[in-house]
Amino acid sequence: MEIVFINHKLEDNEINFRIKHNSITGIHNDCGNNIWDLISLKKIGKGQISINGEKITKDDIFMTQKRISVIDNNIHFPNYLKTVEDLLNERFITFNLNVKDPQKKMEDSLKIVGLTEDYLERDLITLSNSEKKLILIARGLLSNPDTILIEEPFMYLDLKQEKRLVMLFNKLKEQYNKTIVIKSEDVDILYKYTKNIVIVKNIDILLEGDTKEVFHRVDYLKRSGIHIPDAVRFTYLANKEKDAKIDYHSDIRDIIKDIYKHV
Amino acid sequence: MNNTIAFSNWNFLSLFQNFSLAIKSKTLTSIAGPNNCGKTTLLRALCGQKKMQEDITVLGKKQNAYKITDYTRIVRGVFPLEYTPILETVEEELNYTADKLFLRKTEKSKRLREIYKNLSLNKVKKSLIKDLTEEEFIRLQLALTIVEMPKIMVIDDISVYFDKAEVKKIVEYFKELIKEYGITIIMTTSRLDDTMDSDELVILSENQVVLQDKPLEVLQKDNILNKVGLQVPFMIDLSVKLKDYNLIDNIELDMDRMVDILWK
Repeated sequence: MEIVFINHKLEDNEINFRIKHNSITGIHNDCGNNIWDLISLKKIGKGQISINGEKITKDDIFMTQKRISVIDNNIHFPNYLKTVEDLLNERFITFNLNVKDPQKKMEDSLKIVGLTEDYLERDLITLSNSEKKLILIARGLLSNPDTILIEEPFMYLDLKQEKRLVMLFNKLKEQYNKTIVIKSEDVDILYKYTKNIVIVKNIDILLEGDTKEVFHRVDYLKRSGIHIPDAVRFTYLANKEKDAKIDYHSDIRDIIKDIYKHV
Repeated sequence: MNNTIAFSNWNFLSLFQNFSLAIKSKTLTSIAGPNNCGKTTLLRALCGQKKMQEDITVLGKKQNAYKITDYTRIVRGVFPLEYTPILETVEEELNYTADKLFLRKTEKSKRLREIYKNLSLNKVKKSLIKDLTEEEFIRLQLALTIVEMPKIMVIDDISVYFDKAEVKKIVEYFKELIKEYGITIIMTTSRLDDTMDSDELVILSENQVVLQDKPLEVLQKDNILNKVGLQVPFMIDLSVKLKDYNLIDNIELDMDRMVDILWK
């Protein structure tokens, strides 16, 4: 699902950006939820929105919203939900999902994120933060969305779970043609795992494009007060201060190989 | 240095079996580990939120020998977002907590002034607690605990709510508190970058201590850390690997200096 915002008025700014189809796009945002709410079509301003090349009208918004799943970072669940099954069931009701076998759908979603069906009976208050996070992702998959918007996906997860989730994102993208949008404040995460990026500053698009190309514009990002990923900062310093001629890499082992060649 | 806290062959439910850990007094100890390794359970047990235990010794006395009311004055815990405020504004809440301590007026105002400043709470002093962001709310929780100056303060993973630079500032403040007031601070974290300024780092995995030493010593054990599911901080990771290639002799945490060493 490709989403394009053209001359979209948000507060005093007119913004243009694109979420590419079947890709992992990062959003680095310093100004609350405006852009996030816009991408999820929750709060739209004045301007044009195109989905897969077709301009959508206000009447289309509701149906289009249903094709987008927003997985936020709120792991504090309302008191009336007691078990994981309650939490997942609620999604069928709020999204008015017509599913043949809801039980199987819930079990499958849990399985995708690496949890067993036994979790359905678990009381929500007994879950650790990482389990809650994975269950939120499982819930986000229940509606079989075209686009998945996920806020700080690796928060609460350890390295093993992080790697597993990255594999899941790649699988969803490659095998099921999903479009994944990751919102994170962690530039190292965005540099490592996203293909495209939108950097937002003061409710305006500062930079947009291929993640590597964007983050390699170090001087501009620094002037704009955006953090630089560690791997980029190191290579930039070596090249700028010592004319080291090493390439940018996200994997530390590749950086070491380059240093070995050039030092 | 004496041990303030000792778990000696501690057994707890089916989670911890023969678990032993000693924590030195007047230090900042970080406990890190992958998810579900027992970090939070350990802190809750230490705070007396679980059944008071015989196998845990605190300040030379078995935990279950304390009266719970005395114990909770000695050991205070901060569990992010687990707190129900009594009053409306940040200032009212902090004043109320300070008033319960019957401090002298000058002492109370000095203590509060330092806390507001060091936890960057001045800008929300008059704010309603219900309007605080999660980050501000956790700052308030820390403030409410520090104002009571317990002998032992335990803090459960704040790294998910603050960026690395903010945690560094908070840790610097903790170290000042240790130096000035002699308290012992234990914090858990899932981000190893936040442990660098601790006096000691403990790595837990599957409810056992797998490493315990000065942070720099522990963080160089990259194979063990990766195996348990922890991300080694960038500069440590780079240093360890460059050492393996004999390109540098020592761990270097400063990026500029590292570049200078490599390209002399």
